[in-house]
Amino acid sequence: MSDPFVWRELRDEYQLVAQRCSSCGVVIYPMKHKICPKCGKIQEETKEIKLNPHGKIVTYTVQYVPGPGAKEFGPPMILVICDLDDGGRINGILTDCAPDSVKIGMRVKLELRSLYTSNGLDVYSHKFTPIKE
Amino acid sequence: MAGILGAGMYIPLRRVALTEISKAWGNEDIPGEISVAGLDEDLFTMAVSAGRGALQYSNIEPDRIGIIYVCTGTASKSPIASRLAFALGANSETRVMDLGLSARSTTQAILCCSDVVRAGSAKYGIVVGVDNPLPEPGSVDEMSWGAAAAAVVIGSEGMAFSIAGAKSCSSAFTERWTVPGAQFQRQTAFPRFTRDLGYLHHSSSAGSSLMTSLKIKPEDLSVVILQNSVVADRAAKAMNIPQGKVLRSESGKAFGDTGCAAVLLDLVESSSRVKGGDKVLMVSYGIGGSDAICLVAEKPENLKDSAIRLAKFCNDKTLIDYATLLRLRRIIGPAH
Repeated sequence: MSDPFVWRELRDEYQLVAQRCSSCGVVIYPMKHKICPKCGKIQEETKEIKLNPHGKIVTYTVQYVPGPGAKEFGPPMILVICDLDDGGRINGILTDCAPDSVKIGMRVKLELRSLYTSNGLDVYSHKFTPIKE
Repeated sequence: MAGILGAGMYIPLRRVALTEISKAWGNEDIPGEISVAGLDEDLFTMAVSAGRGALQYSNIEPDRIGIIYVCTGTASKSPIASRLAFALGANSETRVMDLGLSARSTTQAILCCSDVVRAGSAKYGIVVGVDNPLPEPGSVDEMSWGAAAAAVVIGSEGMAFSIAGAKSCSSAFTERWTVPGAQFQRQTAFPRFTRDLGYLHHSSSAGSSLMTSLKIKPEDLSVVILQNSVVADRAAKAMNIPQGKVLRSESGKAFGDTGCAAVLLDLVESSSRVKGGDKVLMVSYGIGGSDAICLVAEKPENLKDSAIRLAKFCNDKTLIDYATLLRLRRIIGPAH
């Protein structure tokens, strides 16, 4: 992943800023779409929203194939798709959780974490962490 | 007048029992645990979580923050404060500062920030104290240093605690230092030297001087927060402070000595033990000296949610073994 790509995504990744479709209201994250992925409406102006970091797991898989940053962060890596409380279905990595503890419907929260290092510099993104009720 | 509006904190989930470390080195068992950051947690991620919590509990929008201080005694790859301001959603004109090299930098930042607020240069400011130390295996520090972040919002209205006064004590005393290229910090080989000329001298001088200047007696204080140390009781005695007034920090037992975050975590903990008008003496210590700050409880109940959150951090944990501790601190790892 190139550094300019990281720079372009920085606001979405650091501030959890998303976009809401002006027609159907679906939450779009990361907010780089000019066309709504659900209804196909062209977005004349960007309606920004702050994502609620709380949500629950819709589905997940445990990946045992080493991916980027695998030397430090895994495998195994738990990949989840989550519904956020104020709208938006996004995918990401579940951290601070053992593979045998993850469950569908589990409450989670997005926290900023290191994703991998590029040229010695950390690249950050939000990861899901379990919420203990 | 300026003071503390609200507080947030972040403590990593992973803990190692001190018995686990002493077992590895064949030493006597010592009770207690220390917090350990995960591989994907660092100074920046912990500071962001603590800063977000402080804004949430203070009910302040990030674009109203005029100045941000990040304080750490841990070496950082790059400046944290500017990235923290961005991650919090602060205005790009927000002033940002990184203070480091000493655990007392948090209290120094609180004093600087309160001066800025009093002068009217900023309506609100944030001070974040964060540490993720890398002690040498087998050292005394390995048994005491923990990872944590804590943040407070400073302002002039709706304060939980107002700042009544402060005094500092600095000297050329250097108990730790960093050698270029060395993985671990070095320290003086004489613990008594560090204890007596370092901690006891600076903290008791700053505390006594403040009480004299404010004309308050030790019995006027409700709670005394001393930077985490095994000789904190002796520092209290040197200031004629009754032992019962010194905060026996639960966070210290649960997370260890969290350096720059320690006094802020203790302040949150003390909020449940005071009522309006009570006085709290907070004395930090780090390389170079001490700062003593006298705080007056205005609306300590404003920190109630933060105190509940802190108690939750104390209880929520995953215990790890010594080998995992070394791996998480990147002392052992895969061959390159």
